Amino acid sequence: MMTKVYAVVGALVLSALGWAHFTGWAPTDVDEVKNVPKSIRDNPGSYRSAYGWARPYTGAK
Amino acid sequence: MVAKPAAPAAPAAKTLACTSCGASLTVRAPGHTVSVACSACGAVLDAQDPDFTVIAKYEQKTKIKPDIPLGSRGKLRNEMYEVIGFLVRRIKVEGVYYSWREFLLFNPYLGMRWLTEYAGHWVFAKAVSGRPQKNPDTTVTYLGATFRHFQTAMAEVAYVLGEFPWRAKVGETAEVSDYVDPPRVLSSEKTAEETTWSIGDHIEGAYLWEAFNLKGEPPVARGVGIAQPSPYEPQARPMRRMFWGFLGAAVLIQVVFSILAQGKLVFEQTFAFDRTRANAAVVTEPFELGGRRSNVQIDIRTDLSNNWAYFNLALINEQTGRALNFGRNVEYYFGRDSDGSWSEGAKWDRVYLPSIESGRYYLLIEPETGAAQFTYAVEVRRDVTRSSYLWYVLGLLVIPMLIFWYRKRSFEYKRWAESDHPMWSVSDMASDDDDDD
Amino acid sequence: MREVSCPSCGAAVKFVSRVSLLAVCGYCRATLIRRDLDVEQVGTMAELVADPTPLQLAAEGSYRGVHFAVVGRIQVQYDAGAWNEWFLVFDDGRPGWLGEAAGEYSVSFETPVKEPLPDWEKLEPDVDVTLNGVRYVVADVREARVVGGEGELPFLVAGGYEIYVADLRNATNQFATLDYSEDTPRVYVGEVVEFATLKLRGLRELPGW
Repeated sequence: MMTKVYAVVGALVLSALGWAHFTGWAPTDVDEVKNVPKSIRDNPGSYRSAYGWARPYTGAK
Repeated sequence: MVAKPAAPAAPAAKTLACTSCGASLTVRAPGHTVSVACSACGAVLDAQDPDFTVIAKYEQKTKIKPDIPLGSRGKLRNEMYEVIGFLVRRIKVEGVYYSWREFLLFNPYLGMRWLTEYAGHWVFAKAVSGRPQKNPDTTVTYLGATFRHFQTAMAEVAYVLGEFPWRAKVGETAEVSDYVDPPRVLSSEKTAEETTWSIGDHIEGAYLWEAFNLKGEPPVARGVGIAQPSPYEPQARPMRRMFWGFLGAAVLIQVVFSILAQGKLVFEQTFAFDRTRANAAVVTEPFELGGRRSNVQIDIRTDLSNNWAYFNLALINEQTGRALNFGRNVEYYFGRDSDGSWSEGAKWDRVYLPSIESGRYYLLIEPETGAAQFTYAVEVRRDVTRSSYLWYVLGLLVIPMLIFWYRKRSFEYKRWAESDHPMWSVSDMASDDDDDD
Repeated sequence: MREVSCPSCGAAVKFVSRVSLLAVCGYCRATLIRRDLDVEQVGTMAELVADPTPLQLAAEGSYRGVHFAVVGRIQVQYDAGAWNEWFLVFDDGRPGWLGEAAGEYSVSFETPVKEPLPDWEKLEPDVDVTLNGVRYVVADVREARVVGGEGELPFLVAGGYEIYVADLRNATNQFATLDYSEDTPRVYVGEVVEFATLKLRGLRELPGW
C-alpha cells in the first residue's frame, strides 16, 4: 500500500526536518577532541605530584 | 371456492439423444434457448423444434473443453447460475488471431448472463436493453457513467458448445465495440439485423473457481484486464492530499524555526597573514554562544587571488575544554583564454558546525597557504536558518509521488496496450524520435 | 374488489381492480366482460403457449416501495419470439404493467403525454422521441399477434388480435411503449427493473431451481 509507505516516509522526513532545525544539525564532518591542553605544561609527558605544589623537585639530580 | 389460475406447465430441463449422432444431449434452459450444439459431433440442433432438427453441422477438428464445464452451477454475487453454453470467438489484428472464451449462464428467474475470459481476465456481463448515448468524442454515456472507447473489431465465432438464445453458428460475425470505465465494460454487438448492448464487471478467476467449485486453478492472468480496477486509482487522492499536507507542514516547520532562529553575529575580526612572521596561529578572544543547542555558521572571507589557503580550525569551549577540529579550504583562480574570462573556486568559505552547546568559546585558527601574504576576515554567527533543508525535504516528498505516478501509469499502459488506443510509454515520451507504425 | 359467478361454469371470478374490464374464468376460460350489474360472456379465451416464465397470477411484489399483485396477463407473439405483459394492481389503486421479454423486466404505467406523437409510419429504430420532456430513442418497432390472456385485464383482448407497438429506451434505463393498436395511441412510461428488486413472491415452482 503506497499510501501507508508514503505516510511513514512523510512522517519520518518531517520529523527529520524538525529535529535538524531544533538541534542545529549540519552535515559537516568535525573531529571532537576532549581535554584540549590549556597550556604547554599540561601535556601527557610531564609529571605532576599528587601531593600538591609544595615540592618543586621534578626528578633530575 | 376461488378458481385457481391454471398456468401452462413450465418445461423442465431434459436429456435426449442427438438427432445427428445419437450422443446424449442435455437441454438446460428449454423455452429460453433456440439452438443447442452437440459436444460429440458438433451438430447444431433447433431447440424449439420438438424434433430437434439439425440446423448445421461442423467438422469440429479440435474438441475444446471449456474451463467451466457445461452444467456447472455456481452462486455469483448471491445469484445462482448454471453454465448452459460455451463459445470461442476471435478477432484478427494485423494478421494475428486473438481469441477469447464466452460462457452463457442461465437462471430461470434472473435470465441469462455471460462470463467472458481473455488472457486470464474475467468479465461478468448481462445484456441490457437501455440505449447508451454515443458522444461525439467516442465515449459512451450510460446510467450516468462515461465509458471510454477501447476497441472495435469484427468478431467471428470459432467454436460452439451447448445452448444459445439465438441460432449460434460457427463463422458468424458481429462488429464488437468495447467501452471501459473500470471495473465496468460496456459492449455493443452489431449485426446486419440489430445492435445489442451488454454491461459487464471485472470478476476474479479465483472467485469463479470457488463459486463453481472447480478443481485446479483458473487460467493465469496476463497483463492487465480490460475492466480490471486499478489498485492505484483509489489511492491517488489520498496520496495527493498527503503530499500537500506534508509540504504544508514542512513549510510551517521551516517558517517557525526561521522566526525562532537568532542568527546573531557573535564574533567578527580580520587577520593578516604574513609568511615571514613566525607564528601564524591565531587564538581569538572568547565569545558567547547563547540560547539552546544550535548551529554555528563560520564565514572566512579572503582577498586571495590566484592562490589557495587551508585553514585548520578548532572551536574550543572555554569551560569544558572540548574542542571541535575542522579544516576549510579556500582557493580562487582566474584568468582569460580564447573563450573569455574564467574563474575557479571562491574567495570565501562558509561552514556550519552542528549542535553546539551554549557556552563561552574561542577559535584557534592555523592557516597554511601558498600565498606570501593575504588577509582574511572571520565571522561567527549563532543559530542560523538553513533554508536548503526545505528543498531537500521537498525532493524527498516528491520522489514517492513520482514512483506512484509511474506505477499508476504503467498499470494503465498495460491495460490499453492491446486496445485501439495504446498509451505512449514513458520512454516514448522521453525520446525525440517519431515512429510511424 | 368484486366477485362474480362465471355464467358459463359457475366458478367464482374476481375483479380486483376498478379499471379491469375483462376477466378470463380460471376454469373454463370464458372471456367475461364486466357490465354495471353483472358480467357477460363474450367468448372463450385462446390457450396460452407453454412458456418458461417464473411469473404467475397471484404473485405479489413491490415496486419503489409500493406493493402490487399480479392479476392478469397478455401473451404476445411476433416473428422473433414471444413476450408477456403482466397486469399489476398496486396497493394505491394504480394499474401498471410488468413487461417480461427475453429475460428482462420493465414496469410501466399508462401516462398522458404532452407532446404530439409521431405517426406509426415514421417510427423506426434510432428515431428520437420526447415524452413529457424526457428523450428516448426508438429501440424496436413490432407488429405482433396476441396469443391470449388470463386473469383480469383493463381492455378487451382476444387471441389473434393484431397489435402495433414501439419500444422506446434511453441511456438511463427509462422505458416507454407506444401502442398504436387502437384508434388513439396509448403511451406507457416506466423503466427497466432488475428482477431481484421486485421482491416477487408466489412465483412458479421451477424444477431444479
